[in-house]
Amino acid sequence: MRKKLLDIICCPKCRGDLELTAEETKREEIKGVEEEIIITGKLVCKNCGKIYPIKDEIPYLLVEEV
Amino acid sequence: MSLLDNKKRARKFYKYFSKVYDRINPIFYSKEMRKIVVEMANVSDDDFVLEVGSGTGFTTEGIAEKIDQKRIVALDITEEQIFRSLKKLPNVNYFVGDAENLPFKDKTFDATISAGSIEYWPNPLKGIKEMARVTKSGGRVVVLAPRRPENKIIRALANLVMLFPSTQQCVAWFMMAGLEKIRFVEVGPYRFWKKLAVIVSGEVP
Repeated sequence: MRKKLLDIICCPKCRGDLELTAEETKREEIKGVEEEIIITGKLVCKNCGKIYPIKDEIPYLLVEEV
Repeated sequence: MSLLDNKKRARKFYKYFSKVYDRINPIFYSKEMRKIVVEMANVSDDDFVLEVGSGTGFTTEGIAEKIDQKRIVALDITEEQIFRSLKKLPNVNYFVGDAENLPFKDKTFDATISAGSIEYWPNPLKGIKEMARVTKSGGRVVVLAPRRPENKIIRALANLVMLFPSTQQCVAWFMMAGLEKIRFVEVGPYRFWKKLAVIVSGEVP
């Protein structure tokens, strides 16, 4: 996940803001713009406390596991 | 719930139905249909677009023909599908998520598209409301719903009345989600019922 996208995401359960804890990151140049990419980490809802993982650069923002 | 129970809603439906009836286009589900989906979303260069239920990326490719991959957010409930799409479109922003509980803030996207996904949603109205919520005012919500009548009797009935229940249903959901300027196009030749689909678009007020 591009770190920039933190601004547009929210908790799918309560729509609270999410706080990022990055474990592994990289910097990548995409079309001339350098950006920080989160490879693994966690997104924690500031409102309800639910924890969502980021694995292989993809955030898993599911209310319930499927 | 029967759609036509509500007379006011039925009247509204027929109003839209008559307006677009002549646009019904006999084509297959194809790149051409995908093109219609993207066109109905009014996607332009600087737009930020969400695709819900992006699957292996067939529609995503169509959106990526119009705008940079970086400007596309693709959400699917199945990670395996996302991995396949990732191989084709590496710079799209992928999320594992549920259409009925979108993990995005209100009024985030210029357009929100979903093609061939709604038939899997337990609560389609909730999904469309979510799409409307995350779309900016003046932005468009576009849904392509494959229409698969379950048996020959239903197919025959639908043919008889020349009204397509799932088209009505889709338009009704768009209305109930508060969308305006609703348009729809039905695609696919009549003799191939299984290929029939409806593409509905609406604008966020």
